[in-house]
Amino acid sequence: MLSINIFNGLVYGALLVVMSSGLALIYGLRRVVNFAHGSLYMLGAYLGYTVASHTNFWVAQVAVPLLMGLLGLALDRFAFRPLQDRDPLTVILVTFGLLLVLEDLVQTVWGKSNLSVPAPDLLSASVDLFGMSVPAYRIAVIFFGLVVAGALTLWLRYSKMGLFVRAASTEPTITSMQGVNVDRLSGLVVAVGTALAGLAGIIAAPFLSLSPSMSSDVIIDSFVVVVTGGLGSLSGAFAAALLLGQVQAVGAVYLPEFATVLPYVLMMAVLLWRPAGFAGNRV
Amino acid sequence: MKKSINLFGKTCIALAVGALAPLGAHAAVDKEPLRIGAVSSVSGVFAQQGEEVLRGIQFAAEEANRKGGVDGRQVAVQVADDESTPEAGRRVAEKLARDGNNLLIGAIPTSISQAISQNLERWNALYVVVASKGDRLTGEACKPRMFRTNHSDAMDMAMFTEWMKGVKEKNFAVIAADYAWGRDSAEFFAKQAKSLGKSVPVSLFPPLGTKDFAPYIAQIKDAPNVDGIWVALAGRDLIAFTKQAKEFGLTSKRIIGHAAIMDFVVKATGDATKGVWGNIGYGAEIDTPANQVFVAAWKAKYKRVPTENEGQAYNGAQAIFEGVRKAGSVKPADVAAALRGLSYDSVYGKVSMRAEDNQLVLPSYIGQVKVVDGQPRPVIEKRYDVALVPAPNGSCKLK
Repeated sequence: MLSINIFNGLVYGALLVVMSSGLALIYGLRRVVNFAHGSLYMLGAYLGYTVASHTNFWVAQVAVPLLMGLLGLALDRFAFRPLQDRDPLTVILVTFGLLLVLEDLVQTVWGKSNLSVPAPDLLSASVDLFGMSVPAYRIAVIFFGLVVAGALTLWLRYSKMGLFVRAASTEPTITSMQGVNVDRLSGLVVAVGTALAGLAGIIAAPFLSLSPSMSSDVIIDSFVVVVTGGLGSLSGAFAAALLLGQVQAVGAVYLPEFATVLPYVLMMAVLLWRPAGFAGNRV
Repeated sequence: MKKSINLFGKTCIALAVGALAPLGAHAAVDKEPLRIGAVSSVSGVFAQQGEEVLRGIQFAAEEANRKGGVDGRQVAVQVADDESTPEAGRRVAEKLARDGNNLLIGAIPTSISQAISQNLERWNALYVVVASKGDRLTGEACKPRMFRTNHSDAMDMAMFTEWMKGVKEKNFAVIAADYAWGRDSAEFFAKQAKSLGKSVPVSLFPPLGTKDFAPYIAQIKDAPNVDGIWVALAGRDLIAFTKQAKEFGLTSKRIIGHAAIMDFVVKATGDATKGVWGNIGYGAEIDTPANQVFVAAWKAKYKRVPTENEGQAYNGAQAIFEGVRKAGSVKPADVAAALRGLSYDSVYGKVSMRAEDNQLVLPSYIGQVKVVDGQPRPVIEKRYDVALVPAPNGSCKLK
């Protein structure tokens, strides 16, 4: 019983990894608290719905992040970059406005109905795990989370671009003095972050339901993850996402009365212990 | 040139009026129109159901106008969005009423209906409940100018009690939303199950807004011998649970849903609701002359049968029409007085508006989701006569 609960926690944790790594990346470089991240996730899910119903799930999983990446480039160029010298509160308000616009856009284009995306045929079967049959798709979700975490880590650790990103996150001014075009780099990072939000959307589509209010569901959990992990820290976010997944899944079974407050208790405890989160400010 | 057009125009109008007069249309122009204020959720969490309710009301109005109006009056519908919140519901309902659209109808949840019902006298309005099920609307919070034309929770429960006698499953899991309605529903079920010699080894109360039901589903699967599940979840939580229950193969058990097999849930979950049982407030299968006419007209317009909410809203609009016909007036006070205790013919057959608590007494229905013409939808399996409707519990004191 415990092992299946841990498995369930891993599934949700993996989704949070994909979701919050985008949020953490964008904050790390742009210092933008992106309230619209949840709506980008929702937009990704709906785009995924349309692409998947015309082609198939796998095409959607490639096409949606690409489309969302383009949107991210535009977002950085026309919103975050012009606003970078303004009061952070202004930027927060802009992202909040963007959230409202995106939610209305989704309602206008796709309507208010709850939609659902079927799991791809390859993953629609059930698999026996710890004496219980679980949908194969859920195992795939964990796999997607691992791939994203692995790819991002490799990119940041071992590529030149990743080096620049890490440098710019800690010292943007000095990095640009060294000849790195921080604006272009930020554009890329916001694009990647937005693409990840979209990817999280399409990953979530087959096992959660699509509705115009789905953004608020995950954005709060994602903020808890990012704050717990250390604002802007990717490895911190990974750890916090997996921990939050466990807390939710295991908490729902063993402490059902407290299931809703547990994530916040976790966040408070971590912040009291380490005010800057697990990883502090390191990327 | 201008003059000749005017003359021509006048002639046309005169001819048109002359031609229509024998059909009684002149009366529809003379008398004060019947002005419905449709307040429902166009945005927010109840928007899908709101959409259905508004469609049902509009359809009723169009149909009435095609037949020459109600009591010789044109029917006009003005729509307002309650944004799925009681505050906005109260605000827009007041605006509608003060603008003269004072025959109100349409909110989805009990909380909004209750908010609207507070000041009906002061607004010179009347309100017909078509979707809210909370017992308090016809109990301690009842109002002389508020009428309910759909089933209350108490009516649904009475029907479930009767139906459960024939259910052979012995051990039930309960999964219910962690708020008053879900808890009440779970408590009711546990009591009924016990009195019928069944057991409820697992009771789960996921918090509102639960996205991933896997931890709860795992607990149900882990419990030995559970062969049935009582589900009392709402809205998106219900959709998420239904989808995930199917993924985990929980649908092989008997699932009974309290207010669960609604059209928007079935649409959002595809075939995951197939075989799920539940109470049904209205269905195209209801075998009455009035319903056959309604369903045929609806099919001609929308190429499908009306949904539960659409039918319930249509039925609510008909109640207003009946009241206006009886009163010969569109003044809310007159219509309310006429409706009180009124018996009339509806899509449900002969129904009566109970004078003690303004609850429409109508038959109850239970059914399950089946595939009809390639589409899964709730289908009525059994009808229970009005004799099953519980008497008012005495907490409603109408002036």
